[in-house]
Amino acid sequence: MSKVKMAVLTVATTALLLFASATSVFACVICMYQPETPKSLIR
Amino acid sequence: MPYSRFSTTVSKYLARELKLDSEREQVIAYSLDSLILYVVGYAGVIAVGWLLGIAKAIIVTIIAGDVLRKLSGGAHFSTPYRCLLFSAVSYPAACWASQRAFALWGREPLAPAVLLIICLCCLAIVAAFAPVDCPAKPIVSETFRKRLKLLAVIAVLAYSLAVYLLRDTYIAYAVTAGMALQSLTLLPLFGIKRLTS
Repeated sequence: MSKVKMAVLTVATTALLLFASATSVFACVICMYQPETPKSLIR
Repeated sequence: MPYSRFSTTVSKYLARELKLDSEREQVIAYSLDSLILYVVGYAGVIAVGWLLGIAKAIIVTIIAGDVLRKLSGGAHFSTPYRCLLFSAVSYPAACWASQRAFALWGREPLAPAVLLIICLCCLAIVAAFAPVDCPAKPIVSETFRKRLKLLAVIAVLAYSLAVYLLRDTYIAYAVTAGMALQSLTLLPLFGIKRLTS
């Protein structure tokens, strides 16, 4: 894998993981539907 | 399969390329699903509001409702499509009604008192029932539950203050609509649907 592709995928994955972590401090994420929350994000 | 095909495919690809474990892969799929629903949900509600000619008011309404929902939780549908459909109808309907009320009775001397009564009803509902969790995201920690309740009550108080200060503008009515709609989803009446979903 090229370095650029690796960097892009890493940044995208990090952003998604951060977004997921941020949702753990809320009661729910979406207006009227809650996707199955991974156990590591349940508080 | 708890997540959409798109989210699952992308998360599998990222996990394979970056050699992540299955737990991280699941978190990525969850994150993608949440993000997509968030964007589509907001876009749908704003689009309907724009078609009704209340674009600015609907943005205020959905932000007010959504911020409170983050803290108070509420009833959920069993599928994302029902959620999107309900949101695309209920938020514009509530906002439209609030803007009609502002146009018709906004200058009446009793209007601020009516807004205040609605705010007090919302405060009572939030204080009594928030936070309302769902099987897909249970709230386990009692400390976290108490913190969310406190923040939800503070949010309603802050909204009420904003409504009072902006009582002569459409913003007060739009905020009240979002807050009232979200507060109603906390009622145990809707809990039956949530638990059986």
